[in-house]
Amino acid sequence: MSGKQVIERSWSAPLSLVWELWTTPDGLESWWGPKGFTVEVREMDVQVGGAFSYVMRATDPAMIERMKAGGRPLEHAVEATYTEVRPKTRLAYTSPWGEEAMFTSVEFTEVDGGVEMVLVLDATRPEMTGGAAMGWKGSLERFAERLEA
Amino acid sequence: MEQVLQALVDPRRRQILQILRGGERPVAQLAQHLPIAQSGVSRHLRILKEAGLVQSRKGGQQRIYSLCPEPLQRLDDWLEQYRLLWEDRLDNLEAELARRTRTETGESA
Repeated sequence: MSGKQVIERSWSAPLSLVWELWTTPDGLESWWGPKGFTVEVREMDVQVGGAFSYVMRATDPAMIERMKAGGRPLEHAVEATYTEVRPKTRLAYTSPWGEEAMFTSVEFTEVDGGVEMVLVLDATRPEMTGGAAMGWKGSLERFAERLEA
Repeated sequence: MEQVLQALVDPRRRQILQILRGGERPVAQLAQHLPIAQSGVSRHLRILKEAGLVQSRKGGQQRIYSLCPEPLQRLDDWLEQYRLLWEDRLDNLEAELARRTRTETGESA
């Protein structure tokens, strides 16, 4: 159905390590930034209702050049809130950051020799309506810009 | 886009869109597939129509509804961009997991 995306991955790594990389500032910072960006975690209160905020910053010289040329800021802050926390099993958060809004959930299952992950991006959850859903048009354009950069 | 999103939040309306994927339907026929009164179906259809998700035409005694795929396509295009961002991110995660797993087991990188 529309309004939703599901991504599945599996890794041959211990579940405890996977969870650590999702739920500790050091762990998250080591992979969260897309190419050309680094991420600095500001708050990471991994419990329901807890804050999850970070700053995404262009660091790669080529990326900085492109952002400047496009008149875009070199960094932006994201302020999300955890909505579900089940240790080593499931994590979900809503991110009404700036003009972008999304419900993201990730679930881990321990399998023989590794971990299976299912990530769901859902823009049609009830919690995303109202204030969080405002400015969708802006977010569309911004995302497209980001990826074209 | 907000209006499309608001329309899609309701599971019943999503169900109506799902049925309309199979082709156009008169209201009465839609109501047969749903555990709600025809008046309720009409109300949902009005909201879907306002969001540009369905259109209707006159067909004898009643209106016949069909799907307008464009807003859904726009929504999915947007989400597709977001998915690409995540694929990129998860590639990083995969590399980091491999790096740390090697380190933990004492193998050289």
